[in-house]
Amino acid sequence: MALVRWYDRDLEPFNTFDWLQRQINDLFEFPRAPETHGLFDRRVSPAIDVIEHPESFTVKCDLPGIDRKDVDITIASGVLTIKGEKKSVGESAHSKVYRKETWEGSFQRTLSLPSGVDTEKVEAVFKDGVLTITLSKREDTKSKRIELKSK
Amino acid sequence: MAKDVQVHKEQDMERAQFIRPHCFICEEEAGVISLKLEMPGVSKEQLEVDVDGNELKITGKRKGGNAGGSTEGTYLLRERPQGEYRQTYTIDDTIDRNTIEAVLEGGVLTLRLHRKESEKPRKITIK
Repeated sequence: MALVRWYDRDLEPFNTFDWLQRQINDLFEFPRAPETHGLFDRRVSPAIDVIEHPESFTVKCDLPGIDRKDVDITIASGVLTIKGEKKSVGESAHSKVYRKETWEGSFQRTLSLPSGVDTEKVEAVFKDGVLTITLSKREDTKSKRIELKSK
Repeated sequence: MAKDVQVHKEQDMERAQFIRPHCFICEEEAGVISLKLEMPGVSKEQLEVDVDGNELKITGKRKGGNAGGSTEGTYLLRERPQGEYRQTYTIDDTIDRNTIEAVLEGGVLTLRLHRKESEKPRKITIK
């Protein structure tokens, strides 16, 4: 069986050269492979997004195929740690692997939280493989609007 | 010449818009090819799997714009890929089109492609 990548190549003659150039460039670029840390204890660092809102911070992390029970989130002295383990699925000694781009094993990501985060008010939601952590800002650090008075 | 430049720009844009999901293709049991695609942030309603002739087309949109969820606010860190998931595979005639099963769980789409009965290996009894 041939499961081959399909390319939308138009019939323009130069598109083929463009495609070739992209392929060669992509050989040295692995922008989507997660970063690994640690010399002896190799760990994957999943990609995260940190978004600042007027009232809170949102941290988003892509963790597809990971069970909710295998994710551990801790906050200690202003450092947020997301760690856990991604278990391998559907792979046994008898299975014949054609192509594998996914990773498994333990992962860890630490993030120094900005000052002004209320560590007591943290919410975490795990849905469709995306972990969303909402960190509320402390009352005194929230941006306040100053009313202008006319005299 | 100006037209050429236009074409290049469009290609770059198109390339930036779509994410190719990470795949894991294996044959767990004989005759069933399992195709797993990691598409975090995609719910069942936003996922489309189409079989058109020899093409198996998978499209997954993330809700609320590019990043999924509310996009308002300032990004302090942006590492996750943006855009919609898109991948097309070519499947050959040995795959039974009618028995393709699809399950989406925890951001992973699992497609089970069954080989046709006539293509499965069989033993020939010796008389």
